[in-house]
Amino acid sequence: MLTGLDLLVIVFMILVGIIALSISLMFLLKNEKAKKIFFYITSILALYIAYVATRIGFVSGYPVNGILGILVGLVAIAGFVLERVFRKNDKVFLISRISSASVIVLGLLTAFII
Amino acid sequence: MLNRNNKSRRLSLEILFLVSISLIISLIIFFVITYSTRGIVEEYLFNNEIVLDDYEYYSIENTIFTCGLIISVIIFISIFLGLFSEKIAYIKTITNGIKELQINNYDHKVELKGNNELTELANSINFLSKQEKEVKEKEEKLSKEKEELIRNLSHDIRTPLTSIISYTELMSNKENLSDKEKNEYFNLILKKSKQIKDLTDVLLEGNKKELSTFEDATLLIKQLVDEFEDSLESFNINIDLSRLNKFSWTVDVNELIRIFDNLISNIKKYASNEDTIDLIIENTNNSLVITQRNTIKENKDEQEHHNIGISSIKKIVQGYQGNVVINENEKTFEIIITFLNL
Repeated sequence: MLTGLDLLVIVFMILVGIIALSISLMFLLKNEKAKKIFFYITSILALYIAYVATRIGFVSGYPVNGILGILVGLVAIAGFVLERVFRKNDKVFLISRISSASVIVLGLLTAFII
Repeated sequence: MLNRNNKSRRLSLEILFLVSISLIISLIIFFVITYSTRGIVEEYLFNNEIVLDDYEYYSIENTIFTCGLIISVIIFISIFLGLFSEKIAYIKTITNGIKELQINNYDHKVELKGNNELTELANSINFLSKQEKEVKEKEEKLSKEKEELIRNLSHDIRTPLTSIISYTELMSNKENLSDKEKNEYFNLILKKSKQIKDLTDVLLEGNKKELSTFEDATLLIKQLVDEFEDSLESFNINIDLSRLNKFSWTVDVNELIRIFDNLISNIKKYASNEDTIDLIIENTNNSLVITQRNTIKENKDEQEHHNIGISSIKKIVQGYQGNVVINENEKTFEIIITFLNL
């Protein structure tokens, strides 16, 4: 019989698994359209992690974590906007992808580990 | 074009590489997920002063391990399929190329991607497509040439046949022919019959030239001009050979006869007999120029046959590196036949 903790662990691992898969495919695939789809998924996940980190930070009395969470969200949005504005620029798209991947990892660390 | 200087990679090694990458990434993710989750759980239990008994501890451990394993397997399959899908897409592109070849679309080219057996296959398909296109074009060209040859020869056979019919009709209608006249007509009929036989031989055996060398080709030209005049008795013919000088020439006489027969045929069909018909033959600077000029009669029928006769002349003259120039308007027609490099 699965306890509450078991369920939380499963949910956490699935979330991390989805994030890891999204980041991997965002960088490994050669198809531009597929790369963009996984970039958008990563950006959405980064925003969600930013929300979780902010909530955990401020509610649990860790304002630094809360602020880091807000920062993660802002960087994720900035990366998304850059990609939409400079659509045909491959270098800008690479920077957007790297920033999106970095902040989502930072968000996970902020929310659950640090 | 595939770069044959670089060693092409084997597809199997590429797939092995994809499997390895997928495995490494999924293993890393497995260790990251399981150890980070274990760390978070232990931190949580420590902070909340929760002590688990052995059963609960192993239960959590099993949950973490099993979940991590399942997630890693899913990630491995997803990454491998994601990377392999590009190869599948390329195989589909190659298959489409083969389908285009099947429906004889020889202009379709398969894009060359990568450097493995699939690229070689795509390259081979493009090469095959190009070869098929060339063969098809050659076949069409040969077919057209064959049709043109048959059309031209059939047209050229008509002229001597018409002469034979005219002479035999003349012989049957005219009473009290002298022996001399009879011999003359029989010789003409025999000559025209041989001409038809030669043309039929060309039709059956192909267009082989029977070249003969004439030290003084002016005699041959004069003979042809005499026959030209005789065939066009009802017309006013003006012949100018004043600028024809002695020259030697290697030529197929039958082809020259065909040229003159076509000129005669066109004059009979399209020229007005009210005006003079000019025939000027001259040779200058190692070339022979035959110019024939006439006015056109008012009701001009059978345009297609007119063109077949001229087409036949052009084909013959091209075989001697010559050219044919036509100047035509509503009232007059002029053909200038030039033989070069005598």
